[in-house]
Amino acid sequence: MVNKRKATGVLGQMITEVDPVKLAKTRNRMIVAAKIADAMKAKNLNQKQFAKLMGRTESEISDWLSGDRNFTIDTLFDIGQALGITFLSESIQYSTSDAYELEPMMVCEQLEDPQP
Amino acid sequence: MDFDIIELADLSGEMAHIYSVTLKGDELTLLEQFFEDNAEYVEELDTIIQKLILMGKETGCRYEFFKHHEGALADGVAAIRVGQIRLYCLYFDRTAVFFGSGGYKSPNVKAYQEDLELNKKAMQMREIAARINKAIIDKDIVIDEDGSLTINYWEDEDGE
Repeated sequence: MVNKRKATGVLGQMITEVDPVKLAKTRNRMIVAAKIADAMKAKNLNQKQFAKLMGRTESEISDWLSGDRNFTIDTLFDIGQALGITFLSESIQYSTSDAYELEPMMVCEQLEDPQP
Repeated sequence: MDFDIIELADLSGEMAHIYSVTLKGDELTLLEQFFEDNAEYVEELDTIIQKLILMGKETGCRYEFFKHHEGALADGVAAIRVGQIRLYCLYFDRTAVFFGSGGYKSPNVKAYQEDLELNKKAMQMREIAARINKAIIDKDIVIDEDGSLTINYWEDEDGE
């Protein structure tokens, strides 16, 4: 077996101080990227083909798939249209008070391998 | 190059095993040393940690999260890019990645080869990757489907 231990030094310290809100935001970005990649695979699209479909460069698509991108709602809509997937819930739930509440905006269901 | 492989317990999880290496005579892994050397880039390092935690515990090390072809032909050397920071690694698959070091890449530099320090880190990763790849081919190292690693045989290059 390989040696296994906890990280030390700056890395070890920073791991203990990770902000859960920032972590959740990073998670959303990575899950959206993964969802795009899975949908591309399901449609047999490589990055070049998807870039052409979206009118973007391959470099932009690579950036989208890196898990770092903070997409605008409009871009997510365009990607969803191209790939036939949904990122955003479209319904608005009204509460008993006068104020209304949006359903959770990001659809972040469990990732599954795409069907061939 | 003589080194030992270390798994980082607080980054590994159900979805992926996160490995780094310690060079002979060092206590810190190259990943830990990378954080010491680049501590001024707090925001970028924080994002890298978040990504590693999420890859280990939730998403796995998905291919698209990495910039590939950063080393020799088909040697698996890849990088994580956050802002201008580059962290080099040997990408095995979604379940196992071996991290080396990296550093700041100036926006004025097109390729890491143009930056002496970054090139040194990338070349170091290539050497590490070559040795690990050979050990995998020779079955001295076996990586299971879940990314867990068994070392059957590992000795220093001078035979110690």
